[in-house]
Amino acid sequence: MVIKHLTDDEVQRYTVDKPTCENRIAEHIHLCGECRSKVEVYQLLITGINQQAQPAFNFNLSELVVQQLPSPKEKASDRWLLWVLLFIGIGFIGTIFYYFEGSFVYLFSGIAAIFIYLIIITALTVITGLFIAMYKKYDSEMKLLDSY
Amino acid sequence: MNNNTGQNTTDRHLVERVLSGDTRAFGTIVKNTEKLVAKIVFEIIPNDGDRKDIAQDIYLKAYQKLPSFKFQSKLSTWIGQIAYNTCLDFLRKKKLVLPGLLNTDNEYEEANDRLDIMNESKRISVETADVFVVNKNVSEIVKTGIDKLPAIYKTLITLYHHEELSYDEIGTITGLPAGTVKSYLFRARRELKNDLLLHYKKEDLW
Repeated sequence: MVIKHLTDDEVQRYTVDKPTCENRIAEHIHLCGECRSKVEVYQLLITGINQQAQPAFNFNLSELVVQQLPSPKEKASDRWLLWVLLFIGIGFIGTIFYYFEGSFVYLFSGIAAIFIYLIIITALTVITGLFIAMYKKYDSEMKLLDSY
Repeated sequence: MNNNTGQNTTDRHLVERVLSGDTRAFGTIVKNTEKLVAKIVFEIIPNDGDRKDIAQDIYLKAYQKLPSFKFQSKLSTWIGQIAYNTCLDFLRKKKLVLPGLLNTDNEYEEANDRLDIMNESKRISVETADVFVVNKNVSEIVKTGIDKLPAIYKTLITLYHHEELSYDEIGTITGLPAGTVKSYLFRARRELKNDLLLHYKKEDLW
């Protein structure tokens, strides 16, 4: 005969965490209609809780956050690429000078030295400007790709 | 167990990618954890307009603190902890009080005791519970009950029943001992049960 009913905590424990519940609780519930009805009410409550709508943000949080992150550091592979391009460029110019050294002297022999310097400086400035613009474009495109 | 290990590997991989400068990987972390963060933010922050700013703030903090993450918990739990603390900081700055956090013990114990006495006097029987199942829209009644709960109880209910987090994980997020989490959850459920039964009895009289 059942003398003492289960406490509310025991009923809850049986409802939400049955496998870890002591045997005496399970046995009592098996025998006691009143405690069993309390378990049923809790089971109903848990069902009700599980049926509640899950809140969610109504905006693209991931995109908003990523846009605000500081730009990533220059990758090591990018730096290597720059150095390789620089060495290829220097090698190419060096090769031209090596093979056509005589012709260059002959080509520029009739022109005043000041003009030669002017031509070289202009050419270097244009090449540098183009190179910087090209790298900036490449970098911005890589960032754009990264954000998707 | 395996699932947990797999999760840790994914977390580690994502964190390493973010730390090496891959912002897309952080976007993946946001997507993986935003449901948990939404649950915490929605339960604690009452104003919808504030939630957007707070959600962004949470992840920007997480990004800044990521180098200090030592994988002592799941990444989602760690971000949940940042979310919870950011929400509390926001309430403190606005001088708002998180109901239930400061005066939970006495007031809610008393309220529960009152409800228990009322219910006891009505002697809910097996039959009434069965009728209740059939006739009432439980989900709506539970929703009303949850809305009336203190924010801390609502948060715990959500984290335990919807996110299926353990007492320890919830403790890490909220900074409460696992035993306290368990005890608060028991009280919250008891309050909801009392509300459910009262609601039923009241409507039954009509």
